[in-house]
Amino acid sequence: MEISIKKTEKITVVEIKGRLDTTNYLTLESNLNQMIQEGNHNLLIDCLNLDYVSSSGLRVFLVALKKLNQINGKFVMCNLQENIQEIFEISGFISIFQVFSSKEEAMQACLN
Amino acid sequence: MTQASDCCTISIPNKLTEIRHVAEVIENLSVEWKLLPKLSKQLNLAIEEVVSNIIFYAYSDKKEHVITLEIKNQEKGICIQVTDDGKSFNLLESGCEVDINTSIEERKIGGLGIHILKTLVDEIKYERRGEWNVVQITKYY
Repeated sequence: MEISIKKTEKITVVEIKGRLDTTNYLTLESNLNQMIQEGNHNLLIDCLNLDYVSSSGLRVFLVALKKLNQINGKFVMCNLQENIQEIFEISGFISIFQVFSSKEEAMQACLN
Repeated sequence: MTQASDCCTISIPNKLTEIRHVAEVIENLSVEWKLLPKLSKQLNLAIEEVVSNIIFYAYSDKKEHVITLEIKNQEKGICIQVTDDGKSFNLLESGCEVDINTSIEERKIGGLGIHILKTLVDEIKYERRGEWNVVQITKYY
């Protein structure tokens, strides 16, 4: 898994690439925690190159969403691959996360 | 790892890093058995949920244990049997029901793995054989 972070004035875009599973979810968790602690409260997770997520990865997303909701932040996702979209539907995540099919829409939602 | 054309058996130690090894085996078998990428990813996920659950919760000691996976390419689909010598745990009666319709605030963090597994595969069987937990999952073509 590779994580790259691009900060703009109001949004922090986090691109996750590869495989997010039980062997590496703690890396993403600590990255997101650090970002939130540093004051990045509008996170956009771009999943364009994220090929695989297991329940360990889903938990990281859920924890981050809960944290940001408590401080009136935003946790928005975009570009889910078909298999990940399926897992989001199975888990009921599709109705609790803001998920968009394009980065532009997601950025707009982050700013609203 | 032993492998006949339609069956592959691997034994791994109870270490989370081994999940990557298992994923590689599934990916190689998927190519050999010409499985659709979607099926391959679903199998990968189902196995990870079973194996990570064993590694996280089955052992109360710190000794090394062996988890054995037997992966079979059958007429109706792919059948995977996972055997471990951890404490007795019937994941079909785990009580980890996830309510996917709850709000964010009430949404619990745990239990997702087993919920995903149960939804993703077509058959799950559990048996306690002596000192062993035997889980058999089947995903149809």
